[in-house]
Amino acid sequence: MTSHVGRLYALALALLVFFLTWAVVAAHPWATSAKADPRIAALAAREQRIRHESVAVRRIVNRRWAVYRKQLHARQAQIAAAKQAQLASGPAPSVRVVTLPPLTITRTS
Amino acid sequence: MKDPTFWILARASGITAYVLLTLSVLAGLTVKSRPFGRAVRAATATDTHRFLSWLALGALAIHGVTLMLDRTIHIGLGGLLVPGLSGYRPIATALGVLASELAAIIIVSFPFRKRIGARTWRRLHWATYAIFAFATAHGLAAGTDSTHRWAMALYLGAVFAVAVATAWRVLTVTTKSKGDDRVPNRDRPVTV
Repeated sequence: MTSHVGRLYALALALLVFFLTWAVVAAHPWATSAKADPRIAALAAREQRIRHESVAVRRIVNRRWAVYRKQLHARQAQIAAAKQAQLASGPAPSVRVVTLPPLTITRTS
Repeated sequence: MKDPTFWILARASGITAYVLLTLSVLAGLTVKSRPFGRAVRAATATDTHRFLSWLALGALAIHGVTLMLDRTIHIGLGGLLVPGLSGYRPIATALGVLASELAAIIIVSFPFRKRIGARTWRRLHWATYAIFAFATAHGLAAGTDSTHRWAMALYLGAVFAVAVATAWRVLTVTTKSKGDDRVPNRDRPVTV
């Protein structure tokens, strides 16, 4: 036999339990009193520190790279100027090859 | 940041399913022991017991679907259907899967009671205690909120209520059966 009143009460109770639990789980009424997990806090601090370090390292690497590029350009310019000067001064003087006579050492005691 | 709606819904529906399962077990236990006397008719208690079971099954379905849709823990259809396949707390989740599958079998078997046979169906119904035990263990071990006092009070209260109702029923049935000794076993009405 179907009991409509009983079913109505059961359905109302089910809905009440569901929405009440939803509200309790979503609202976190215990969040202020509960202590945060120290491992999670340590992990978050470590992540923050590593982020800062990575930013600092990137800045240093960029600065050094800029200096290196600048020096490289200057050196390349020096080499190019030297080559230009060498070409402008004409051909290099010819080298005279001299064959010397064998060296003889005589000693008298 | 991930949207926690499905995660919250999964938790709320899981707890709701547990509450409804407990109420259904309690309603089933009161069918025969009748602690409220003539105030609640046996037919009303039986119908409420069945309806609560179906509601619990509905809440279980919502629990499973929202867990699949949620991205906090990755549980697929296989993890929901096969015990131990889920990567999230495998043993505790497996207990939940077992409990829900057994509950589904028993609840769906309500209309087929005559076809199955009252005796077989009653034996099958004994699995309700295992379902309740598995569901409690699943809630305590896998539940995100089980560490909170209100959740612990809920689980303890449920276990206490079912234990008291079971004891009440055992005592009542023992007392009644002593008075029914003249009635042959095969002629006794089958009640669960």
